[in-house]
Amino acid sequence: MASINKFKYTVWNLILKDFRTQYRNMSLGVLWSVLNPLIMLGVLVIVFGYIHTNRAIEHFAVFLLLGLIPFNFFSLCINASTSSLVHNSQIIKKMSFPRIIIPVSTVLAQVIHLVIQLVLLVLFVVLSGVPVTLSYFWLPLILLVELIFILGLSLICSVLDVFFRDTQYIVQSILTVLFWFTPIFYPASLANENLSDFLYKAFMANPLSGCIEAARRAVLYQSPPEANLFIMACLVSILTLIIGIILFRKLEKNVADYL
Amino acid sequence: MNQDIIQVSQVGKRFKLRKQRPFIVHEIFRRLISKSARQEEDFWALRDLSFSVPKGCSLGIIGGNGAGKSTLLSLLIGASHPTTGSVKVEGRIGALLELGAGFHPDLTGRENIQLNASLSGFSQAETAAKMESIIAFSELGEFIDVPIRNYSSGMHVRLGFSVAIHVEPEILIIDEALAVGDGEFQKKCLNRIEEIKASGATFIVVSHSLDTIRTLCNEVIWLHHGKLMMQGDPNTVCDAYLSGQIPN
Repeated sequence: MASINKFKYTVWNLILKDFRTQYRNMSLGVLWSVLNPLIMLGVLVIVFGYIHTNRAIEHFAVFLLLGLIPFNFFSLCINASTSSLVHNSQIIKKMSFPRIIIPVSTVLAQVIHLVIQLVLLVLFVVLSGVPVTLSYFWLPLILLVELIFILGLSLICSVLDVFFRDTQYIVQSILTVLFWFTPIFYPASLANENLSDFLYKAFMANPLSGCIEAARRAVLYQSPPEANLFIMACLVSILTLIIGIILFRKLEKNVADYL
Repeated sequence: MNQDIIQVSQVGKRFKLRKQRPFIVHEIFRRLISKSARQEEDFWALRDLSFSVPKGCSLGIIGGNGAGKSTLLSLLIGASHPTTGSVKVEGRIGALLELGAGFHPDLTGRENIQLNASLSGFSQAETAAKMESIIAFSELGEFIDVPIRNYSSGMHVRLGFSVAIHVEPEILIIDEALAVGDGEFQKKCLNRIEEIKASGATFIVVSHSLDTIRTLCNEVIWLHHGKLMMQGDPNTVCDAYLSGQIPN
């Protein structure tokens, strides 16, 4: 018990460290966390609401936010955690502690951004008059699945980046690609119509797609997630986490030598 | 009393030396064409090193640049792992390796103490209880709430040393850093080291100052190119080290 408490205290201190070092030198500070998605949302609403009109989708702003927020959180976490071990080399080389707390605390430090953006979502839900129902209780579970996926990937990316520094650039490219191959500004049903069965399955194997789709059903259509898709997202996420833990355990011994 | 707190047996530490990380495309072509081994050189920073340190001993480590002293310390504190052999260390370690090690430049002194203490395995209550006495010992005054990027090197050492001795180490490890503090602070540190030693803790110091080694230690090992040249009482080993160095 005592060791778990100490572990929590260490993680908490690392989160505080990330937070302090990230925002100490900025005048707008945490506000950026709201501004960034707002700008993105504004652009997407203008492009897909007025230029390339898509009137078929009701409550388009909420629809967009339900895609953007999970994706932003994902992208923030993966970007930050990939370089986390390299950035903390000063601590890692001089001290002995379970290395795994570095990427984990880096991911947890981003949760504050998620919370702020969720407040934004609530605001839009209220403004646009989407009915509030019990199906909203699916959201915490959906976010938990996403978090598991993120933790798994961040373990993989952070430890690979130590031995192969190109990882951060590869990750950035993949994130850009993923932005388009995730149903953010279009519904997953569109992919279902236009992709072959195999491609659609590959498309939905990405837990992000599964989570976004489930979140939209919960908020916009007041219904539980589609069982097959959501179970798929859960399984892939858990599998990613298991692979991440195994890989990290295998490589962490030599991390200090390559920093 | 005769129980060994540190056991190093047949330890080797290999680093792979590369002039630069290989450009992957070039590397693939090169290997396809020449089929030669990778363009890496093995460098053994430590080779077949064995020694043990009894509890309460004060061990000095000497040797020229590149002898493997710092590599040995990082194995002892558990930051890296030996390629061959094994290192066994029992007990809480307080370590001060190099200037400002383990500190983040954007955090203030106080925040760094907190982070460092928690990474050393301190609970929140323990850290809070120690905080004021760490700050008092460092004599940093109002600088304690300034980001340490603005610290002088002497201030870094003050902070690092204060944290290292306050984790109530069973093993205190100091790498050369003492020399940076001013005379007054050095004296204070030496007094504190004597206190810690008197309480039965084990003390390990790496230094190029043989005077420091002779006064502080009752056992010395001399490393040369990763190998143990000699282990014994300070005067014998230091004299041998000095005489061994003159011909070069």
